[in-house]
Amino acid sequence: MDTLTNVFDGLAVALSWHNLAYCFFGVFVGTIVGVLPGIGALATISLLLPITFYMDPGSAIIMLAGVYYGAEYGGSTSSILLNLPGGPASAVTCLDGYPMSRQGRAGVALFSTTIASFIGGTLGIIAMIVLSPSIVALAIAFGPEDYFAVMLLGLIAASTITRGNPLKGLGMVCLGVLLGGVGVDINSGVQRFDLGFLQLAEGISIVAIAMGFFGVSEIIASVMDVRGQPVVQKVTLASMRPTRDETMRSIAPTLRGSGLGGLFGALPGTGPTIASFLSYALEKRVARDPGKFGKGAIEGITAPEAANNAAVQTAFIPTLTLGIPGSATMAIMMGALMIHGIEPGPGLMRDHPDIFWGLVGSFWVGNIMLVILNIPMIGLWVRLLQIPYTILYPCIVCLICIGVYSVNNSVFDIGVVLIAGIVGYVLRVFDFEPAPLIIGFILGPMMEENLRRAMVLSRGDPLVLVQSPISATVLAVTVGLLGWALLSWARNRQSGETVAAIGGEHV
Amino acid sequence: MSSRYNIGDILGGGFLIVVGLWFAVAAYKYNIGTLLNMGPGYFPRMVGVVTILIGLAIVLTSRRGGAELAMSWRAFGAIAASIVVFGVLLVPFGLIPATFAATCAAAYADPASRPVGTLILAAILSVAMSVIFIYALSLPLVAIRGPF
Repeated sequence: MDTLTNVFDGLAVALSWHNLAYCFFGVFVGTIVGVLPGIGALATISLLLPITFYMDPGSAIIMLAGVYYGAEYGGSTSSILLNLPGGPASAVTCLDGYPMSRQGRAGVALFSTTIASFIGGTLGIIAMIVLSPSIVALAIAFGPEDYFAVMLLGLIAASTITRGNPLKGLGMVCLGVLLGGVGVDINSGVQRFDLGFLQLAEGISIVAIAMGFFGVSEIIASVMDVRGQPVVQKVTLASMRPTRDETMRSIAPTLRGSGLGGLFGALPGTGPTIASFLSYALEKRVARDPGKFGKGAIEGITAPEAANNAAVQTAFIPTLTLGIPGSATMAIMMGALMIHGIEPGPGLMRDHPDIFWGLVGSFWVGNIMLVILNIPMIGLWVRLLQIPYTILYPCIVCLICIGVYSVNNSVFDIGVVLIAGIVGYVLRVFDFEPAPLIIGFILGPMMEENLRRAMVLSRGDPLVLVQSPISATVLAVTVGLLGWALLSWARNRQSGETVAAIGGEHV
Repeated sequence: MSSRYNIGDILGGGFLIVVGLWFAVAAYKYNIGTLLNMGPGYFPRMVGVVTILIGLAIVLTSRRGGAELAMSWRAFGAIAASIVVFGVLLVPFGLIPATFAATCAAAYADPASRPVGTLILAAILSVAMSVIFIYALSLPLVAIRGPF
């Protein structure tokens, strides 16, 4: 019953006026960037980071989280109407969503994906409520060597479970860890790698790194790609009603999608994108008539949308209970808490129950807001899709510049954004994904600290990493994962196949 | 382009090697310490060496094929220039000139943009940004000033 009390306390926090307002702002902005192709949740969250410095940490995380799951709701809208995914996790929704739209059933598609998203999100929240306390209880037994091992697993998983060359992901992680080490060393007070710049004493600004590697490089990459298209049809409320048959056919896929999404959301490295692709594949396999997929099958949109929304909720489990982010977005979210001096981890639920349970409460509130935003107010988003990117992206560039300047009132940080943007874009052209770098940037300093602590406690005996049962198990899994990723990449390349089109994960 | 290697792998891997090398060498300036008592240089040196190895592995396993590099120089140059002019103009001249110039530079990235439309957008944006950030959010910025 303890948990139930906590949930109600959390709801009370989430229902306070200012938190309701921040939550609404978050999901509203999230829906906008979800609907609009060419700008993602991660870039937006890093754009909003400077604002959160002036907020209390609970409200800050409620707002940023709203952007994250709001974007998953919005993402399906442009997939269905324009055949252009609003974000990577909604790419698979194009396959059957756009054909439905061509058949004049865009309304039904939008309605079903919203409901499926809501169910997926709700089940994800329930999983979070049920599982988090037991994970925290488990995590209390963790020593520094165990944390080091789990973080290593997180880094390896995040960098190898992508499309293409896992070595490139690993390289980006290392780059992130190295950049994360710039600044004062906490143990000795020595200034490291600052190139003589006083501005680097406190480390490279996470806002500047995230905005450069994601915001700027994303804009450069999408200026030429994102072209507005006319929306094919008007969407009215009356056109949204699915038939009885469509409703019945959606139930099982929605539940299966939620389960798959909840699982992959909580695992490190996997996330909403992989969850949505896998649940689409699963539906195609279990369907009696797989031939109808790709021609407007409702199962093909409800399952992946339930999956990606369940995944964005369960992604918070490892982040908040262990302090280990499974994706770049989660890493930024953690950064937002750490700026306020709050360390996400097993202590969070005990020391700041209002933040933890308030956030959980806000998930529900936010999901209900999103249903309202995406069903009665769908016309607004359809109109939003008609704004040309030509107008949009200069606004985003200016917002990035002002935002990053305002963090420390320093022009130096604008320079960091510039360099990060240039390097990020060039590496993107070379097929190096930026997401693992961000995770490395956040986790690197924490890994260093835990490793140093573990070595002191074990009197410099590296064997402690394999003597602790938790650490040994996790390291074995890590090695297995690394081997599997490299082998399957080598094999795929040998046979000249391209790995399944699982696009940029971690976002 | 029928080189034996994928140019992206070579350049990207090379970049990793250079950065890893720089960190690994720079780490020696700080106290390396021992495994028992790691100094500030220990962990960065370790990661730097791993970075070099990964960079080498990417270069050595590179093979011909893969997608052609699709670099859009125009967008790249325009967006980079836009950030530069913003950073250069912001403090001496204020937010309005910085936003105006940055918008004009950024708009050039899209070949479909037209001069008149760009100027209108820049005017609206520079005023809107000043209103939002200086008057509504009261950031310590100046809207416009002369270079005294």
